[in-house]
Amino acid sequence: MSDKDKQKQDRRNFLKNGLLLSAGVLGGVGISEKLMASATVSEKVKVLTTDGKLIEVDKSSIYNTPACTPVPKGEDARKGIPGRKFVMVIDLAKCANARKCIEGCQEGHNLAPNQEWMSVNSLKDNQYAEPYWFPKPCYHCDNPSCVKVCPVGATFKRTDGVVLVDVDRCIGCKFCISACPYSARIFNWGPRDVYEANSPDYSPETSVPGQEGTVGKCDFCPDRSREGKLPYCVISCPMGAIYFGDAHEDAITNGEETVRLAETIENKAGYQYMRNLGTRPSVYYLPPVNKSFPYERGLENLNEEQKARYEEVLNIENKQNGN
Amino acid sequence: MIRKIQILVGLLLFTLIIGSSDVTAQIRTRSDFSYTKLTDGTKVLKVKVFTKQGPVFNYINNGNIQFLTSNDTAEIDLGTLQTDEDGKVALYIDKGYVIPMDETGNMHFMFRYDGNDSCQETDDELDVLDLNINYELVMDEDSLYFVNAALTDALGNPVIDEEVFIRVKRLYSYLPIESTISDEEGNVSVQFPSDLPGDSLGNLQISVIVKESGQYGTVEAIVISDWGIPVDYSEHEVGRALWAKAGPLWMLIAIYIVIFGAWSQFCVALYFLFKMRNAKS
Amino acid sequence: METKKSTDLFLRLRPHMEKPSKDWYVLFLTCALLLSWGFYAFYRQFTDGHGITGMRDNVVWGVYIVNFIYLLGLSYAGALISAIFHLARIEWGKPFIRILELFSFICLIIGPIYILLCIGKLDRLLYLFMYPRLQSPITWDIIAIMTDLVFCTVYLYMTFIKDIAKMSIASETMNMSNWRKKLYKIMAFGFTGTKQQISYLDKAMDIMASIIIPTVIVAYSLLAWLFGMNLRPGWNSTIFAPYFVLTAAFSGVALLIILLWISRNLFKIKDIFTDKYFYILGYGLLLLSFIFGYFTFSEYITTWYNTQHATSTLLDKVQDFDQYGYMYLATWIFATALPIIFIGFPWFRKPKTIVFTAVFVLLALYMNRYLIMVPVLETPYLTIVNPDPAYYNYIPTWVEYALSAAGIAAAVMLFMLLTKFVPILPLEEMKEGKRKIKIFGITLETHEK
Repeated sequence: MSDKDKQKQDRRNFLKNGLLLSAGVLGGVGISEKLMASATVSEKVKVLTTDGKLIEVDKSSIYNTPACTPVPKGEDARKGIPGRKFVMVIDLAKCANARKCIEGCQEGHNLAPNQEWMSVNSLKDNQYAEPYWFPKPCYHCDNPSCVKVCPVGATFKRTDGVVLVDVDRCIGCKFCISACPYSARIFNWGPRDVYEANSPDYSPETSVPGQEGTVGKCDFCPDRSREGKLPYCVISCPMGAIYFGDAHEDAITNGEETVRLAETIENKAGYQYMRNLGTRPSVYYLPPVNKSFPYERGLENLNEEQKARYEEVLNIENKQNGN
Repeated sequence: MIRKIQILVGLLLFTLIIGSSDVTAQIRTRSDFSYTKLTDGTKVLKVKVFTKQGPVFNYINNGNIQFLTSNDTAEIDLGTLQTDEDGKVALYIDKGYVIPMDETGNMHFMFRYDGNDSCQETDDELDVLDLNINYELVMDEDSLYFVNAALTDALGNPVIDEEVFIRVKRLYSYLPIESTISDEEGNVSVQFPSDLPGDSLGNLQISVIVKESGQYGTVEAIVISDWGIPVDYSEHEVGRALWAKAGPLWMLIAIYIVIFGAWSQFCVALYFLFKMRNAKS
Repeated sequence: METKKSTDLFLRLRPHMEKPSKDWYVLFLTCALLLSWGFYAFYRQFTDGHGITGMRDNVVWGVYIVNFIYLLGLSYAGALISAIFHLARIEWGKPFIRILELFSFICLIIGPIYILLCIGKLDRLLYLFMYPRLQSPITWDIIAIMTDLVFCTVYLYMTFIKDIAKMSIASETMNMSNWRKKLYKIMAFGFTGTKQQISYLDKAMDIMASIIIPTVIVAYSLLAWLFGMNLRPGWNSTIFAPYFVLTAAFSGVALLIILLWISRNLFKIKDIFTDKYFYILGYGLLLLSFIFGYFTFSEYITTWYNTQHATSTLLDKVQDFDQYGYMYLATWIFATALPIIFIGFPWFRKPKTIVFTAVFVLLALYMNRYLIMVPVLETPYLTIVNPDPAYYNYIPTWVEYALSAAGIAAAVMLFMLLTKFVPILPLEEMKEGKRKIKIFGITLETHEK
């Protein structure tokens, strides 16, 4: 990337960071509640009519957008959003371990700080390669090992490609956690104030509130997709590394930039991680070619224990590479 | 004596001045003011009011924003609305409502915010020239799709050298197709791909937009066309699979056979046990 | 001659069936104390969540599932060996069939409790029956364990009937509480020793033994496939089902030797459980130790020779002396070297050393199960990035120790109660002569001494 472009990118990022920081301040109380609430409220706007009167109408009548379907609960949540197949594309050249995706997801889903539905790993492909940061949500595989082993059908795959967990049915046997080869699932190990068993507001699409003794994982935020909003991780990433979209529509976006899915993966050699396992994931990665930032940038905002652990992870990678 | 009176009067004036003005200083209010014109001619005036303390933005909720336009002689009040939690408010002006224009087709809009206890009042104004986009969807002899548009201003003159974006509505955003500059006649012509998926009928929402132009604001024309490839929205029945609700048939049959075999033998053994009990000699 | 010997046997065992002695109560109360510690640990786990154990998001199955596999292995081995001995009419094995059946039943009762301890929402256990998914290995396992539980209980009961009938008559003159005498009468199930009753009972027992053998093998293979069908380095191996079954048999024979030694000294039946038994079972232990070594070695060498990345990390972890290296070495020494030295070489071969080897074999096999479970969960394909040490290094907490100790205590208590209820030797069966083996309606002629 040329210097001028880099400067431009840096300026954009600075602006983005500033806006996101302010959004984050508000987000503590206001935004998440608002996001929950807006699922069923249709937006109204004020119109000045021809004869000068102010009236209120539905926004959808002006903008020709389809109304949002309400978030389904119980058995209805097992049916997917018709006509959609959600995919995520993560550009590894842009990830700098800012960890805003992790924080955005935790905020949106009421998670504790040590619960990571999206995690960032550190990989090194071979002895000459530079290590790179590797964000890893649940891959929502088309041949999911986790769904196969659930004894009660608490986790299920929908027609829109999303794999969800119904914590009203999960018995907490943890077989799916051990079956997932990508370590995408986590367990709710103890009681928390935000947990509420058999809440009437619960839907597997929002995954809120969680329950103690059940399993949780990234859900691709289908409740937000119903409103035409992107998942929390996508909008939180300051580098715009995460792209999300509908494969049937052939378009993915990171909030700023929209591109065609097939073309991007073709041109940039997008791949699926550990495809040889036969799980057919729905998350594609664009290789870390011409990285925007050096690897060390990702170590800057970490505390000592996190840094030490990443070092240990890198040691294991090096050992596997033969060093 | 006179000295003492001077000091007293000075103190009195001082307290009056302090008392009359607000104890807390009001923060400077910032604003964003924009104009958008939609496909059917509806004009949208958007205002966002906020304050900035250090790096933190505070959006002003429930602020009264008065929208105005003006003709040569006076201001015309369009309406007063209140901002939402994000400090935003939008006024939609129906296409039939006539906004006064001067000879060049220029419209003048203003907004006023009267402030509150912590924020100063603020106002802003903008001038826009009216722009019309006449679009046309054409398929030529080689079955290639073209989106043609002609830009004219309020007086009917072509608008030249203006950047126009052609894009397609997707679920979360718009997919950009191409952007061009209007030529001397105010025309643009963009080739449109024929392999874009649409909705279940193959319809697409194509948007021709002039974005945040200094003179014309944002003007958008949305057209529904059938140039997309239809996507199957029907609910497919997921067949039997290890990960589906219903498992492979051979597996179910094998399990039932094994269970039945074992338990039927067990029942035979129980039969003999009970026979033993009843065979008391 | 026979009857005098057997009456003598009964007279010798009689005092052990009567009112318990003070020592018995002391041991029973100690075990009860350990059991109550376990209950307290369970209560704490129920209210504070599973987080108070050592388990975290990667090692989600720890000591509980290791105990579960281990106990079920012992149970299935006991059932398998006793069923085979019964069906093949092996005479010299008759005396310890009761012990086999007893520990098989006890381990089968206690083992599944450990799964329940590992389940996050115990109030939803019924969902396993309301919304079962037949594609899940856990569903298969539940069907198999419940089937086996019913079959083993009924089979155990059938083997008791003859002796209970005897006890219900003899207990008139014995020193025991009245409710026990009544219990004997009810549980005799109307058996009075007539020829026809004996033939029916024998038929029933033959059928039960013949269905228990496949049930037990299938059930333990299903358990092995919980791991074998799991896409993890170290688990996704084709050898798991036979490996588990043979290791179970190995552990079962070891436990049998130990229990024979204990019963021999406790009930003073050195003339029944002669040294010959220890030598024969010792040879069996040695043979199984070779088989175990063979399977374990094939598992490790094929993995090591050409290995994928994650598997090489796993092998390093298992062999690294800072992590699991000592446990790995101990497993090999205790399970293969010790039997060869102390049973293979005639100079060391004595009943005492055979029992001593059996104890270490049991220990080694527990460590073997632990090594199959925990290091594999600690090395997923994507290395664990969570900086909290509890996430990448599993260390059991007091809760898991308490519940493991409680399990052993419960087993001892059950054993004590059951041996108070029935004699440790199947007296009536030992009296009978050798029965004919009937397969598919054809009677096999056996060579009797």
